[in-house]
Amino acid sequence: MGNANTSQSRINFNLLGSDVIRCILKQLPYDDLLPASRVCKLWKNLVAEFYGPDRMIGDTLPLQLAVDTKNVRWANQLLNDKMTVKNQAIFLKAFSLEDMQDVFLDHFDLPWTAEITARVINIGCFHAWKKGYRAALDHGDRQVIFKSFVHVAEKDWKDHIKLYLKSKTFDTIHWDEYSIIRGSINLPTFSKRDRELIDGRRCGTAEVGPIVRVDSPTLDDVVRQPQPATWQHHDYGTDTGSSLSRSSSTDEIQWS
Amino acid sequence: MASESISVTTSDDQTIQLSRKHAQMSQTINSMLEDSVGADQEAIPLPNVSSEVLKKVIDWCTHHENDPAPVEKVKKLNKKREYKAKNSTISDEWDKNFVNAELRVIVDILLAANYLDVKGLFELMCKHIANELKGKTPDQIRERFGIQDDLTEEDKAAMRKAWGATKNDS
Repeated sequence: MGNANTSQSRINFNLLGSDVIRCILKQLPYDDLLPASRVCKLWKNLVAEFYGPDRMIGDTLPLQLAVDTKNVRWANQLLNDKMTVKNQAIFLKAFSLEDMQDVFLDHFDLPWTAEITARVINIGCFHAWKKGYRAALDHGDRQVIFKSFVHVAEKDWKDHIKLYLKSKTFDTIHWDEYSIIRGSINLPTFSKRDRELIDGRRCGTAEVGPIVRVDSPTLDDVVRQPQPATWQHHDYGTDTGSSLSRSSSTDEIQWS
Repeated sequence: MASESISVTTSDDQTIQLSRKHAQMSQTINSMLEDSVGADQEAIPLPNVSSEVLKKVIDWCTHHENDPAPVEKVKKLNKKREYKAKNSTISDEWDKNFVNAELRVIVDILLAANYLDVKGLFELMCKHIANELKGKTPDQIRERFGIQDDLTEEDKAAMRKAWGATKNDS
């Protein structure tokens, strides 16, 4: 133990010894342990003695505890650590927490199961979490997306339909699905202009250049021709400049 | 009957009287007293504590002399290490004023509390220093506490690989 004489003008923290430093570090909240472990070799080794992203804290995983305590900084640290143990239940809970959902979505590397997709779509629908909604549309379980879409299309449908039509899912849409969409937009609550939006003639309020739809399918087409068709997605970089087209010669429907 | 005050000699050769009650709040002095029962009452040498720091320790002991004795934590039988972040909030207003000192003094009191084995004071100092560490980057911690960065580039590269670059980290 070093001399505790206050005449020392320079603080030498290393005088404290590892036992004392360990006691100090154990007083730190979890989200301060990562920076502390990057101070020097001694501190790195001391922190590693009692804390690790893959080690249970009591009966709880660190990431679970970060979510339970709504500690975004700590959750972010853990999600950046490859050693962190993750599971679907933690993500399901995190997606429903406003402060957590974006950081967890950015680090989501588990399979997009039906349960995950349903939760994210649901949160996106009811809490305007477009980032999650869009990610679910792009990567989620196809059947869940479609059922969710038809459900929400009857309600606050405009934003959903825009996102849906821009999603990767729509690239490979099948005729039977398309017919259901068209069925849903023919509900009496939709105006003519709304239906035009879905048909691709215009989007929102702006008229957007020439109509490029060559031979867009009607509901009758769908009924007559139930075979799957190939769809192509052309993104011209605007939310309002999209339209749907179908080439009669190649039987390809183009979204441009 | 044991005398009511104890003499101690500090590192700067000052002899200071402290009450038996305060002396017994230090496990180190208490052990020395028990070992010297029946012997001539000479001043107990405290070569690692200066008079200035000892006076601070006595101040703290005076304020906390009626606190319940700290309970020794029973060591868990299972070998699994469990860490739970402690609440490092200092609630006692007097303690808040007490730790409102230069870091150099705080470190000296911490060293003294550790040497004298005054558990409550040691814990208070650890909490205060932990509060000083909170929210700081590794660079800021090193600068504040005069710690040399002895991590090699290899260590740092491994950390970056494992943890990535997170906000507030160097």
